[in-house]
Amino acid sequence: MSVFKLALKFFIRELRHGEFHLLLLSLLIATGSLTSVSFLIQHINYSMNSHASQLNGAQLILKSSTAVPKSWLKKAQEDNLEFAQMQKFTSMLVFGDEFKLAQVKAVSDNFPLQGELRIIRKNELIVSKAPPGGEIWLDSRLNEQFNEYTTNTRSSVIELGESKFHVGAILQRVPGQSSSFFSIAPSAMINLTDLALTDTVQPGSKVDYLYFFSSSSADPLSSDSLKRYQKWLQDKLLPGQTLRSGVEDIKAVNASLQKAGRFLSLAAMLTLLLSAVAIAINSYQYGQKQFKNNAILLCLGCSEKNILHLELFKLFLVGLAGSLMGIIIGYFVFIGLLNLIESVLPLGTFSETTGGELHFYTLPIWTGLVSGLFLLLSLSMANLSQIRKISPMGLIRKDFLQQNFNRKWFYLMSFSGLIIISFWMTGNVQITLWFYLVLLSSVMILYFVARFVLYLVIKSGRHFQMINRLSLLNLERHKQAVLLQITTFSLIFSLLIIIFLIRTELLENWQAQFPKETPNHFVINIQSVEKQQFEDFMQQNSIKTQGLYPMVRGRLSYLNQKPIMQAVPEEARDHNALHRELNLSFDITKHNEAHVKGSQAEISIERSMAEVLNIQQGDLLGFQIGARKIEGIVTDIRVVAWDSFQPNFYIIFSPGLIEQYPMNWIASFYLNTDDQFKLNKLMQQFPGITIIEVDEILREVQLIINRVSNAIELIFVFIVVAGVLILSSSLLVTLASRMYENAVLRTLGASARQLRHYLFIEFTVVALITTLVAVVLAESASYVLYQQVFQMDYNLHPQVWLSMSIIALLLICGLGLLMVNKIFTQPANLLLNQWTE
Amino acid sequence: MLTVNSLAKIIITPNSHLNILNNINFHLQAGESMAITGVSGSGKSTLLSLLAGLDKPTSGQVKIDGQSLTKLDEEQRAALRRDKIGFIFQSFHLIPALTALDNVMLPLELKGDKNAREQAFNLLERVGLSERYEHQPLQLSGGEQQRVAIARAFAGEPEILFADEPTGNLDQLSGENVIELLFQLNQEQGTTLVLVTHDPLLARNCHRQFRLEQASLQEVMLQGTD
Repeated sequence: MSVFKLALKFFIRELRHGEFHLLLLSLLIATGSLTSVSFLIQHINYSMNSHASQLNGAQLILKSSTAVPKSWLKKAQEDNLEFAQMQKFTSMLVFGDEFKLAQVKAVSDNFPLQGELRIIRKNELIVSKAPPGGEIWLDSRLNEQFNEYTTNTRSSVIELGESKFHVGAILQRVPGQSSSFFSIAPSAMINLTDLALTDTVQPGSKVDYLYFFSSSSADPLSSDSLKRYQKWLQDKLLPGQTLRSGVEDIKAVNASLQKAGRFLSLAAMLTLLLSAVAIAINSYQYGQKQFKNNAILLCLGCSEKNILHLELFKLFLVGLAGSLMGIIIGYFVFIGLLNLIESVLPLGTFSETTGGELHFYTLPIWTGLVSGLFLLLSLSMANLSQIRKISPMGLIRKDFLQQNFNRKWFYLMSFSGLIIISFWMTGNVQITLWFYLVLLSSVMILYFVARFVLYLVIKSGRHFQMINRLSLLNLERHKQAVLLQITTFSLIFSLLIIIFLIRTELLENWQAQFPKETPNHFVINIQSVEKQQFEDFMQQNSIKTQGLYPMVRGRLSYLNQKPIMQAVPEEARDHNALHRELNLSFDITKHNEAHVKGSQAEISIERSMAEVLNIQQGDLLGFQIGARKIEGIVTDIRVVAWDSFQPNFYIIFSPGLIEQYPMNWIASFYLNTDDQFKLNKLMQQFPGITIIEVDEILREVQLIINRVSNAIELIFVFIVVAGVLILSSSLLVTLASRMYENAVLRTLGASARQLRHYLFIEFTVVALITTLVAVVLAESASYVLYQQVFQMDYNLHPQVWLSMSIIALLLICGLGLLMVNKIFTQPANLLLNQWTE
Repeated sequence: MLTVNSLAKIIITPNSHLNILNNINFHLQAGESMAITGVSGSGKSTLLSLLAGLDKPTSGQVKIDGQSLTKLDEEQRAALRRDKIGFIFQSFHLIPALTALDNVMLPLELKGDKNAREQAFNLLERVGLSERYEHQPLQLSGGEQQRVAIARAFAGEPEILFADEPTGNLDQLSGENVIELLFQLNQEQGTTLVLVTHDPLLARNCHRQFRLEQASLQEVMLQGTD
């Protein structure tokens, strides 16, 4: 019989006899929790991306300063992609004899592909596609100016170039509008087919051509073709053409997503750790049980190699069975979580953002399967390695085996396996490394702390009454096992404490970044001469600004004396900052991001931009401002919180260099809905300024935070449940020997009260030492996480210590006593028979 | 000392009723010893479990010292075992985590005996293991482990001792040593002894011999023994 067939036979037989039920159960929990968290993360990513697409109006946007070749659009059609077009330009709208400058958007009939174009028609808010021919839709500010005009003249026709338009609706929300704070002027929208008649776009006119692409909802395979098309386009892009997709261009949303991703990956890693602990315990126990069988096989003439193969195949089958069941359960848990999330979400639901369809993700399935098998094999490797070392006689006598078991090898293999999977799962080297570094060093230190405390407890407990002496004697005799148990439990408890602290404190802190009065309006184009008046206006109207910041428009054109396009890495040449004028600022001493050093021509640059363009400290940057060139040395690289809703800049100069160039000012402020009328007053007094409302983006960011908070809280509940299950499975494994001892004691006449008392003392000691170790470990790990990863202040949490002691006592004593309960109810011989070989 | 009336044990399986023991009756005087023999699977160990109050019969009753076990609940039976009964098992059933001395101390400690340690040590000396009192069971040979188990069984000074195949797991020499020790201690303490065995030598050492066959117990009439 081939080894594989034999393994299959053994597998089925052992499965029937419940030999690896515990191992299977822990594997099932591991892959189940991993898969469901992974499904959830995928789904959140998907729905957030999809949400961002709705914000953008499409999954992929191509922006060009000229019309793109027809072949590009034909290719999109061939690839089964949907596409819409927009031409955007600045032009004069004429109301009778009044002229208003506006940004005109001429859109194709099917705009927007995704998201909602919301308009107000006859006082009713509706969702629409592009305006019909002959209609123009105005945004609220233009509409107010227009209303003012019509009240005076009774005429309701607007002229744009050679054509006349009827005002059909008010634009309320336009997808794609939020991509840049600085490009939005009061806007109007017409149908693209009407554009030619206006004659406003002439050769040489400055027009932005926007092409929106999305995968076809009717064709599920087209999301792959969208990616292929994006790649195809990328190779063809010319200067002045940029591509953006998903959320990457919405900086505020993106920063929030990154944080969300970090929280979720941390949660996933904790789930993994919890599960791995259970698998390690159970695979160790299972391996120990197998030694005797293998000894018999060795005696019957099976070679070591065959036994090794046999065990490997069996493990593979166990891993496969456990992982597959786990994936199925994980999927259903995910569906359950999803329903729960949707019902508790305060703002919208996932199905709204995903169009009601539930995508079946393949990545979590692979994650579950590969991690399940990999975890099991890496955690069982130490057991397998023993097979070659031991003679049949030694195997029969388990004492020989236990003395020779190489724990270092076991821990090393287990730990390496875990770290590899964590890297794979989180994709975040910094978090993973810190996490394990702290964990490993803390566990080592605390193992010795636990050992010392246990020693003290046993020593001081020697003088207690008989049954306590038995408990303590037992603790002493099982010292290694008890220490392992304490370390395991304290690991689980400390992980739960860490998740709890992170969940509450980090989320609260994160949400606190958006206080009630987070700026929701930006004002640009404030001229230097108006600055004082503007500040006065704000003060008189009780509007708090976050300060005024100067802006000079300039193009980054040289790096270390070389033209910028040659100096930056090839892959960075598409960077948005190289294809447009940047807003350069200076002397923003009031700005909380400012790190400009005192001397002239020093530059502070935003970190992500510096990284992409490979700009280092000490590099010389040249800027083109109008016809003139200025230079500055990079002396500072800043981290900018793009989600702070404060004016942020890529480049900040030291004062004294760029003040001489034409500049205007930018400010941000909060205005509640009731005070919106102040905007019109502001516009009347300063007709040249542009007000940008960022309510929509702010709402999006807050929506994401709310969703992620909910998701994390649910994952926390899930992890707690997984933790309890794992705790009980590990208790069940370590309780086996206690059950035997209690059965013997019961036979010898110990009363139930005596046994309960004796077990209670033992579990209490384990629970209390566990709490102590867990709390110290959790506090130190959280301290490092707070300081290093999240840059937050740290305080101790005494209320957590108290609640943890109570939970540990209830859980360990409760579960422990519950599990051995049959000792008190079953006849003694039945108990003892279980242990008779 | 031990009285058994109409004792029966029936195991009900989904397909059938299995008659393990049927209408068992006998009486054993204090200080007497009895051996129960029979082929494997004849129900010897089940009978022993019922006699010692480790299991409940389907019908009939067992009385130890006039006290009916069937009327006692699990707790009361445990108390009876603690005060009056000793056990020796085929697979020793020592607690692996405890030393030889700790194992012998157990029944004394359960009774709350203040001199448990001293008494246990004396008993270990009596079974010839005083040198190895600190060893754990796995560090002892099978014969030595059974001697520890015998010391433990006698530690509580039981009125009646149940032994289930006490030599079943031992080689011949160790087996003979264990038998000798068992009967010596039995005589010294005047304990009533019930043992289940395959070993004819062991059975011959008992005052009375019974054979369990087809669920019923028959006393074997002894000829020419001492």
